Formats: sequence, structure tokens, C-alpha cells
Amino acid sequence: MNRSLVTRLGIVALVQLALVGVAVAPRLSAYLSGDEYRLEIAALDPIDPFRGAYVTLGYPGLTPDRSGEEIDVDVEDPPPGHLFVPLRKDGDLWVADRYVTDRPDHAPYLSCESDGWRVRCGIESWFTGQAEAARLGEQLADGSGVATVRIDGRGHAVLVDVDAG
Amino acid sequence: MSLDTPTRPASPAQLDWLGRELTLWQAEGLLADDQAAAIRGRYHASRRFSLGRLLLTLGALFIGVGLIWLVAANLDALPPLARFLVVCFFWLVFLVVGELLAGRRAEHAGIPSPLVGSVRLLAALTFGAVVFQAAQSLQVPAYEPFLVGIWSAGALVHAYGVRATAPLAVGIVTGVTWFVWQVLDQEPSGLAGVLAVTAAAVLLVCVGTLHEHRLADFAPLWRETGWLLALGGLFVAALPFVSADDFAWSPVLVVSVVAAALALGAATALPAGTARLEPLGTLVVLVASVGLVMWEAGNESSGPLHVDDVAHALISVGLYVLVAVGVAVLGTLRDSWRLTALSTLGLVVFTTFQSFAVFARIVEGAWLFVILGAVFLGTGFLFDRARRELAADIEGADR
Repeated sequence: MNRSLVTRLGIVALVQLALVGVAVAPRLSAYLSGDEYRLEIAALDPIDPFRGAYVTLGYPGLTPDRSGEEIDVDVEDPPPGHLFVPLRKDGDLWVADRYVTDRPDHAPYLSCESDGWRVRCGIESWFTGQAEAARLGEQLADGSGVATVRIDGRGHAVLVDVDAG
Repeated sequence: MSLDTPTRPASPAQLDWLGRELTLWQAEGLLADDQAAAIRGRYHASRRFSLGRLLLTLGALFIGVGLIWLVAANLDALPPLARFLVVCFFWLVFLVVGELLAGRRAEHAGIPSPLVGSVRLLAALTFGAVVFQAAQSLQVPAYEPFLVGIWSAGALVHAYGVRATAPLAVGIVTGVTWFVWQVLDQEPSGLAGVLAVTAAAVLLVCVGTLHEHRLADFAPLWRETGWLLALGGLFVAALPFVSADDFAWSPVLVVSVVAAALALGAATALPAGTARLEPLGTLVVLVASVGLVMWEAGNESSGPLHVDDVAHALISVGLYVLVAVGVAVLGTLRDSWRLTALSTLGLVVFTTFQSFAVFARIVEGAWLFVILGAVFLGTGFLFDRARRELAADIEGADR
């Protein structure tokens, strides 16, 4: 193997690795530098063709439908595009009261994407073994559970644990 | 080339033809006996050649898909980080071994090696497994088109970094998948889908045209995938129920149309002669497709048939025949059986589908088949005449 080939292969491999980093950047940042928060969850259980079994998690505590006076935008119809969900401690768990379009001054908050009716914050899927996914899905369908997420200073979040309670 | 060059593989059919021609030339006194024998001596019959290539490609595809499947199996026995490192190990091994083999093969230039291609293919597929495993280990939400886009970008970097067509094929297929998925994910409307696919067709064919002078090996893959998309886009545009409802410009769609326009500018400015006709052809397909979708006639797939509906169907068929003839001419000019097969298949599927979608509402059963047969015979006749005449004209003009 001559030197120019080694250099070229090294560049290809490094660029490809960097691309993998770009693919998971917000999750990786939250995983490495975030603090942990506990959120209430509900679930159902499908399969992703490339990545296998997972449980889709819903976050009842993050849907701001409980305190009308603080809501900045229409709750039924979040604006499409980038938005933020400030978090507030409520007993043992963290909840949200509103969506905002400007980045909040204080952590913790979640940085999310909205398509006009659904808000996604990067913590909607818990990938696990098929049997475990089915078990979690059943348990969560019967009642609610708790998810532990890590959130970094920019609002990027990553799921680190799911407890069906 | 000197006489001690290693013999080259040829199929038995090719050797038969060569043998007959050599005998004729000897009889006409064009070749001496020893010259004919020398020519024959430079080839050896090889049946296993294409079979070997097929098996190697299939093997690489199965292992690559299997590795991605292993990621999806979510092996509980290994922790997420270990799973990621294992997949990375396979990717790096295939990447390096592919180039080591290619380096060895370069010493025996002239004998193509399907093994090199299959290991490179394996490396490009395994890179996809690396992306998916990283995403799975970090719980990136499911059904994220961005991951397929990253896979495509990585495969293209690999293809251009080592000048290899196998990763290029992976990069193009995953890139098109990502693009269509992303557009429909953001704006699920018929017009957005048709515009996305035909703009991608323009971009791909233009990139193929630009490759004619540099990295000519890459040109057919880009070009042929582009025409596949063009025929597919026009097919969808002509469907009676595809409409412009709910259309909005998403950022991906805007970027893709701008990229297609820039590529079209470059591809029509640089090459000379008939080469620039091909990119312009894709532009015609784009405009025709968008026009068909915007034309509201034919949008009702049930209820009574109007004159507008029939006109919509007939004009769609006419446009499709024209584009299919164009692709068949390209296939003839470029000696690409894939383009010719693509245009024929597209035409047959399209005509059948349109006949059933439109004419099945006014005629039934046996008559429909008679009409369909007549449509086939008519279009087939025109198609073949037009293809031969156009090909002859263009070849004449190029000389």
C-alpha cells in the first residue's frame, strides 16, 4: 500500500466518521454534556426497518394543555418550524407549560421541531430488544412510566433510560 | 500490445462470432493464417466470468444487508458502544481490503476484477450499518430520513475518494431515497413529489453529462438513474388522481430545484454538439410533468368520463411515448441495453396503466383488451420507426 493511497483512504474514513458524528450530533452532545431529568411517558410499539424494535414514547407532561394563561401560541396547533419547550420541576418530575419560539434564557428547556401538529424533540423513540420493546409497550399501555433524559445547555436531549414503573 | 500479453476473457458467443469473421477475412485474403491464429490466441472462453461477478455482487449485497439487519436485531448481548465498535471494525476492514485488492489488481490492468467491486460495495453498505448503529446507540428517533442522507453522503465520499463505481451506486440509490423521503416527509403533496423526482432527474443526468470528460466511468450510473427518475416522475404526473393540492415550497425542494438549474446551466454550457440535448431533454420532462399535474382535468378518478379526461390521458400517452423514444434513442447511441430496456418497460407499464385508468371506464372486458392491443401495436410501430430514424439522424449529425 503506497503512501498516497493510505492518505486518501484515511481522508475517506475520517470524512465518513465525521458524517456519522453529524448524523447524531445533538444526541451525542446531550449524552456527553447534559444533565439528567425525569419526564412522564406513555407508549405504543412499532419497528423501524433499519434499526429494529423500538417503543414510541409520548410525553403527557410536555403537552401544554393544563394552564391556559401562560401559553404563547395556540396549543392545538404549534407553529411549524423550530420551537422550544421550557421545563419546570413538578414534584419528582419535570413538566412544560408552553411552547416558545425564542430560545429561553435559562436551562432546562428542550429544542424541538414542529411540523404544525406534532412536536419532536429527539426523544420519541426508545430502541431496545424485540421482547423488551413488546413488554415495555404493554406495560406503558396499561399506565404511565418515567423516562430519564439528558439535556445539554442548548436544549438537545437524549433518552438514557425508560422505566415502565 | 505485445503478443505475450495475458489472454483476455470473452464469452463463447463472442468467440464464435470472431472465429467466423476471421475465417471470412482469411478467405478474402485480408489476413494471413498466422495473423488469424495470433488474434484467436489472445482470447480465452470464459462462462464463469459473468456468473462469478453475479455471485460476488449478490454475496456482498447479502452480507451488507445482513449487517444492517443485525443492527436492527438490536443484540442485547452487547452494550450499545460495543455494537458500534464491532460495526465500525467491519466497515474499516472492508474499506481497507477493497483498496488493497484494487492496488494488486492495478498491476494486471486489462483484466477487470469483480472481487474488488464487491468488497467496495460491502464497505459502502457497511458504512450504512455504522450510521444506523450510531443512531440506535444514541436513541435517535425512528424513521429519520436524515440518516439515509448521511449514508449517501458517506458512500459518495468513498466513491470519489477511491474512484470506484460500486460505492457510487450505493450513494446514488440512498441519495435518491433520502431526497424523495425528505420532500414527502415535509410536504406530502403530489406536485411536490413529481417536482422533486423530475428535478432530481435533471440533476443526475446533468452530473452524468459533466462526467463524460472526467471520470467517464461514473457517467452511465448518474445518467441512467436520472432517466429512470424522469420516466418515473412523468408516470406519476400522468396518474389521474395526482394533483397540486396542498403544495408548498419546502426548503429541500427549493434547494433541489436551484441545484438542478445550476447543473443544467453547467451541462448545457460545457459540452458541444448533441451531448447538450440530453440535459435539455430532462428539462422538457420536468416542465411536461409539472404541466400535467397542474392541468386539473383527469383529477377525478371516478364518476363519468369527460372530454377533458380523455384529452389529459391522450396527451399524457403522447408525451410518455416521446420521452420513451428519446430514452431508447439514447440507449442506441450509447450502446446501453439498460436504457433501451428501461424505455420499453416504462412504455409498456405506462400504456397499460393509462388504458385501465381511463378507458376501462367506458369500455369493458374483451374490448378493453382489443383496444389495449391496438394501442400497443400503434405505439410500438411509431416507437420503433422514430427510434431508428432519430438515431440515424443524430449519428449522421455527429459525424
